[in-house]
Amino acid sequence: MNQRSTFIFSMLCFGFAFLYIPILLVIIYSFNDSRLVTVWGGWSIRWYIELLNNENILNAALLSFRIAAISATVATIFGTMAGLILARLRAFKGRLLFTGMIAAPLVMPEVITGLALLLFFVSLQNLIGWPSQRGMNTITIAHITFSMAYVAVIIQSRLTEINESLEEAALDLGARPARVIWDITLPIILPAMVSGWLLAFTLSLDDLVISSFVSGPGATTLPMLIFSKVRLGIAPDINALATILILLVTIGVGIAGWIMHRQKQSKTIS
Amino acid sequence: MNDNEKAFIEIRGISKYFGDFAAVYKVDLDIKKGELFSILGASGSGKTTLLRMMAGLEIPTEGKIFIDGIDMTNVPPYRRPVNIMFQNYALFPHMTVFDNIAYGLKKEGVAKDIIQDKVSKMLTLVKLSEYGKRKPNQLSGGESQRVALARSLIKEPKVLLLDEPLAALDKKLRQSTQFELIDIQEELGVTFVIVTHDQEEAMTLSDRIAVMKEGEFVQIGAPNLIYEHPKNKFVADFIGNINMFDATVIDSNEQDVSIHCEALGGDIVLQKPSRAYNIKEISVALRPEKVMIDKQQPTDENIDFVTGIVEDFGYFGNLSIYRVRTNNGQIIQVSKQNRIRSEHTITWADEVYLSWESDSLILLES
Amino acid sequence: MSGLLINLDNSFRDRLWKNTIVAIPYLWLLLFFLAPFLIVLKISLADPIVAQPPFTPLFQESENGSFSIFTTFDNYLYLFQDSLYFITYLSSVKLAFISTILALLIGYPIAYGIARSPQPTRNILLLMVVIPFWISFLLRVYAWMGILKTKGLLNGFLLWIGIIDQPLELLYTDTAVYIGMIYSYLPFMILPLYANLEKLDVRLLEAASDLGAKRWEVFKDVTLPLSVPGIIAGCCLMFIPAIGEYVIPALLGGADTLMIGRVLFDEFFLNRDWPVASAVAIVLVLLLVLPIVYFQKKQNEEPLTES
Repeated sequence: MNQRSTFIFSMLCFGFAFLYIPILLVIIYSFNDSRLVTVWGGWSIRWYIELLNNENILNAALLSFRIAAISATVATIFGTMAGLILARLRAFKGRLLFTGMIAAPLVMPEVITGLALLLFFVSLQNLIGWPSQRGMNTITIAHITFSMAYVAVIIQSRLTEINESLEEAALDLGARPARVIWDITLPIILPAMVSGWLLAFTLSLDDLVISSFVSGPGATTLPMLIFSKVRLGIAPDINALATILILLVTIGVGIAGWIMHRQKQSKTIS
Repeated sequence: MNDNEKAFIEIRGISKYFGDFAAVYKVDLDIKKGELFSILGASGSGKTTLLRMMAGLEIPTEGKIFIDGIDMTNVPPYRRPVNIMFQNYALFPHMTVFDNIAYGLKKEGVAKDIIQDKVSKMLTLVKLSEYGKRKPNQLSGGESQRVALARSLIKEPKVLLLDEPLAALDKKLRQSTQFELIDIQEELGVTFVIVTHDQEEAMTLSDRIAVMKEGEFVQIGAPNLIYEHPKNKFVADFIGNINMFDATVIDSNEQDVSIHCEALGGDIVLQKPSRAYNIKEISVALRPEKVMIDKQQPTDENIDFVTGIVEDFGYFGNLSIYRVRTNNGQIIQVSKQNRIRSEHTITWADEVYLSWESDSLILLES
Repeated sequence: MSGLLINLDNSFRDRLWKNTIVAIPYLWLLLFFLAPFLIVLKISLADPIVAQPPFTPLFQESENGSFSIFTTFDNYLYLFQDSLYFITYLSSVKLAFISTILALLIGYPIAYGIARSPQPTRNILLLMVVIPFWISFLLRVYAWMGILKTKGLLNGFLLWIGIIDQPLELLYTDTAVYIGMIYSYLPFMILPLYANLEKLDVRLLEAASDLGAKRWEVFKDVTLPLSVPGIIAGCCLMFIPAIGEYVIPALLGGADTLMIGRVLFDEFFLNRDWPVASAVAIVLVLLLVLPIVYFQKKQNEEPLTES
């Protein structure tokens, strides 16, 4: 092996060690019997048992998953519409503003998006009395708003890869535009919509800052709960929770990678 | 005008602007029923835009399109009696070959058993009866092309528009497919409008060709007319190979034209020109295959000739191409059929005589 | 122009359908994205009062019954008078900038190594870069708390191998923030770099070495200049979110780690000074517009540099 390959190889090793050692340590220490997080007290699953008996955490997790499922679904529908508009409707009044409103949430600091939405909800409440209480509804609306921008970008980039003559061929063969979307466009972009949904789900599940702003009394999402606990220091049951979430993500990404791999293979065979 | 003569597709003063750029500019065109019509042009000449306007995929900025006497200018593509075959075939990747072909009928609401029947017949016509259950990614280029053709013919359109129908096929396949296309067109009697950048394809396929340049038609006519009587230097140069020389008109009347052309050895008289030329500076064009090349001086005393040295020479199997530098420094390209299976008698640095029939010369205004 | 959503002289039904597709996401974003920002702008021009909500209304009814617009630039003046905000902005830019440069130095060789790996390995390595991206941001930052603590794993390890004899003060310092930033955003840096380096035509490198360039010169003269779009994309993808970051300084930073996201959060929730928080937000948005416009411009130029 020559000199440069050695350098690249050691950087790869260092990089992946840097990325994965913290995660591995969290997993290992989730099985630590000791309450002192950094002192090894032998193997145990007591923190998992404690986690399962902690009603606050379970409730927060349930709320987070509900918000994530609803917001990801709505964001996928709206985001797909927005992506279609961006990729297929090149000139219409207000296109510039629309492009801006899709791009802005992607680069806006969460603190500002959260602050703006909270001020908006407060003003709206003063004006028309809705939303009478902030909580799951307002968090869901906030999550839809920023995740639909991500979905729109995914859909748009997929649509620009697809030759428009596919859709034109369907129009030419007698299908109305609405029918063309249903028969041709949607089946082809379905994988992109699935990735969009997964991304929106993860973004919603992860979000701390925006949820903290627009939430109200009684609505505590999982990240909000974790943050309030770890702000004070290390918590062993959070290690256990982290391990479960990491496991879920790894399985999910593994399955997605496997499916993509198989699709690629079946394409290359033919 | 009797019924046979009446145009089936009438295009009147059509233009298409993209911003300030005119892709198609004030084009008029009549295409007769059952005709095989080609629009030939380089990329960016506006030919595809014109075709897309006939299909309804592009709205003209100005002008009108009539098909079978009905104004179709603003009719959406899904309500036109016209179908298009796309350059890359645009087969729906998620549907089988059968479903691809059946798609148009399904949108018309045709009954299932009739669809089954028609699609099977169509598959037989394009020689793909066994391929109904395949997906587009399991087809070769030629098979995809035939599926695309079947799909665009299934609704029995009055006009079939073909966008570079053979461009994606390799050379051998292209030739056999050309004749298949002609056979199918004759069998169904559909009007074909073909867009292509390949002059050979246009020549072999079509009844008439329109040569397009920068959004406008330069010449419309039968293939042999366009080849033998190009209207100007662009058409002469665009279609086939040609030698072009500067010349001056000495005298011109209804019967004959006398010109002086240094490259062709001096004064030449052309009989029965198509018209009189009252300008002085002119171009003379001569196709390489119309030049005779020989080591001996031509025996016929009436024939014009020049002498020169073979500077370059290429052997193509069926023919050989020579580049000859004449005594007055001009390069003339000559192509010669290799009719006799023997060693080439003419080669580099040979001194040769070039001669031609005087009616092979084409006069073009500069 | 053309295509699916073609502007034909279509039937009412087709137009209705098209307008519906446009209207739904458009109205949603107008209501829940644009309108909130206009309100922030409005509140940043209001006076704080002790009430719910804690700011004066923008429109006030005067005694003769007519409305007048009530604005004040006091909040913005306050930002300029109090040097804390200025220092915080500078400190945010510094923290984000240095972390971005460090992440670039770490990420570039990694992206290069992945792009030059043989095919099956390449996909696995790429997947390994993506997986942390899907794991909760918060939990990944939290993982470093256990490592960086004074009695934490890193200090324990360093003491054990004998490099140090006193535990280092790491957690709740700027160093911890740098580590957290690089760690969290490294995938954002690697992915665009990889996407760029993977497209690089190996024949160009072969041509350069054929013409006599040494290995280092091939990198310096061909690879590096051609990967500039990837470098810009990666740096922007990291720098822009890093500048407004809240979670990392809140969990890993010390009391003196000044980042604008954190100050804004505190201003809003602890001091409840909404108008000043709004003004801070507006200034931050303006501050971000510059690198974003630059990024957009570079993105549009990219096809040109490649051809």
